Amino acid sequence: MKSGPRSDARAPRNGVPLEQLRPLWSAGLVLTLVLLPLCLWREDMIFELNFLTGMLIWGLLALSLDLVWGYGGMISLGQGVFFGAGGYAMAWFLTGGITHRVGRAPDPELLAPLFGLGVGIALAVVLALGIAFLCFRSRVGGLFFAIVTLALAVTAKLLVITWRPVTGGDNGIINIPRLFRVDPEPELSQYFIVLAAVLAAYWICRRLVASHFGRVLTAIRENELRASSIGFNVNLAKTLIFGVAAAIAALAGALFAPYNGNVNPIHIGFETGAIVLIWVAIGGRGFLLGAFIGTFLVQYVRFYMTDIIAPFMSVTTANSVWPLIFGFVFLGVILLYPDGMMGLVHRIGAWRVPLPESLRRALARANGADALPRPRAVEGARTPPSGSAP
Amino acid sequence: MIGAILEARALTKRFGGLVAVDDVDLLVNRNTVHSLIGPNGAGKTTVFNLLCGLMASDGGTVTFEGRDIGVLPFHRITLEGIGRSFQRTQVFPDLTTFENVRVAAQTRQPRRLSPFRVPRGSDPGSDTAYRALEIVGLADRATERADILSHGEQRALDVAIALATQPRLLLLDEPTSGLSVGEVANMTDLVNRLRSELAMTVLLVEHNVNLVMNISDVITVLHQGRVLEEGSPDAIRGSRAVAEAYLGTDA
Ligand SMILES: Nc1ncnc2c1ncn2[C@@H]1O[C@H](COP(=O)(O)OP(=O)(O)O)[C@@H](O)[C@H]1O
Ligand SMILES: [Mg+2]
Repeated sequence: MKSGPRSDARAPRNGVPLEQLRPLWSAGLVLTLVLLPLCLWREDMIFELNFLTGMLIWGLLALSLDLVWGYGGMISLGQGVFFGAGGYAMAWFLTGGITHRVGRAPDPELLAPLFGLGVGIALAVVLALGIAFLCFRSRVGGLFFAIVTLALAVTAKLLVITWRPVTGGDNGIINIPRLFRVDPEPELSQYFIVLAAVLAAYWICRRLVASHFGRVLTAIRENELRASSIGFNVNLAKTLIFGVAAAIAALAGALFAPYNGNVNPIHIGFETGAIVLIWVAIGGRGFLLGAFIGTFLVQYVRFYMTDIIAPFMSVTTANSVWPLIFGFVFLGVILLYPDGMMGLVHRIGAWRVPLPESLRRALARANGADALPRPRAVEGARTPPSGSAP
Repeated sequence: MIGAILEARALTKRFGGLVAVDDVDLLVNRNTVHSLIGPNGAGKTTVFNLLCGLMASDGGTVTFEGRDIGVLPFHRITLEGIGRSFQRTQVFPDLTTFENVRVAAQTRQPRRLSPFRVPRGSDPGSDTAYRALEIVGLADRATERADILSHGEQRALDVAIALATQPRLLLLDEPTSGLSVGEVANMTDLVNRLRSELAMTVLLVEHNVNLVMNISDVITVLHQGRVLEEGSPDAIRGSRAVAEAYLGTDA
């Protein structure tokens, strides 16, 4: 019914699904992210620019959870811990941790950020691999894994509060300087550093989930028993992806510390780990891009909600009403739209647009000729090998 | 028949006080269809779980092609050459039918867990996968999501996933459960072709007595965790003990 020749013959009349324009819209999105701040940049737009920078950083954290939850099928409430490890390590080095304690000062402009990033990622990865190894060795899975990560988050927060000489206790580490400060536009240079890191991490994740390893992860998310019965070491794959995700969360934390100017125990605790879960659920898990969409949407609405409902009630009432509204929206999305915003994106992606033949050919090449449009199974979709054609 | 492909000795499994599998010996010859029958709760599925390492046994050994596989973890058994399907259908619901079998075929590909290697339509694994779909008759459903397939098609996909791992011994746990008459005929035909055309060995758990009598070379009857009788279909049909314990309850 859906043989090659016939669907080819129909395509010119009905057009091409928007989804197959992926190379175009990815390029467009990247260009927009690069050019928009450059073109629209004015001094009084610092707030908007910083908002966008923040979204990219939080989106990166959500991306790390999407790898764990959307691909590995594990619910982690502990992503904040890895985020915090990156954040605290970066903060410690940027505020002259070595200078004060050891007396040897690394060049703060260059070495300190590298040390901060390296130590933060190493810390997060070792912690994640250790936790995952212990959990899976004792056959801890599912809900119990979530509880273990919750315990980890609570413990990490207590540790950070107690270990004052290094972490600054309750107040955290303050007055963290900017990364690679380029005057006269430090906000703009910071934005581009963050953008570069986010694009690189996103690209790596895209490759990862499309790879042999990523396919096995997807299989594990879909059916663990089946995945191991076809010969894959489920625990090993889950441990590894938990480690990779921890590294990405730590990267987000390391970008966050200089962006925010301070890190404190809230950032490492389960508050962070829990809110990310909501972002990913609303964006749609298992799509990577959904992590950013969910983060942006929730944060944006939350930020401007006060303006929207202000005419109807006082600001204090609005602030206390917000979590309630938010909770209901979250419940609604989880129950009604398990694919979150990405479900909508894919529905729009199925719309067909008429395109000239030459452009269609170029697109087919860019798509590898086998990117089939279908929700949820995008990574898994693949036409049968050519030998099967009639 | 050129000797045994699988040999289990004194297999035992206890669940608390219940002895689900009790000192079971099983010898499966190469390129045969060997059926395991018995009433519900006789321990057939548990025997499968012990053979493929999904459950640790409380005693006994399993030898596959002369190698002791009783100590191997579940996921390693596939690589040894044993594939299995499940009594409760086990597929990857959100993936396409094709990806369901492709990821199974990936298990035999070089760098099967590599984060750098992206599978392509031209991979040998994709061919293996496509052939597995053709064998079970699902080739024209390749691009559909697995969860929109009918029950019968999902049962067939479960078998295709096992086939795509290129096993020499296939364990099928009630592949016809819930199938229509026509689909049962297809499954029967499939099992026959697996043995005759693909030179596979099939260990089959099956409730449909007619089907079992038609396609089996050897039948082992389990009852309350023990082997009650073993022999050719004719011998089993003539057995008084079997008639009393098993067929009798059906009649
Ligand atoms: N995981 C388990 N835990 C406890 N009891 C089990 C388990 N699996 C099977 N059993 C029991 O072992 C017996 C044999 O079950 P099973 O092997 O599934 O039988 P069959 O497949 O022949 O119908 C049954 O009494 C069943 O209740
Ligand atoms: Mg059973």
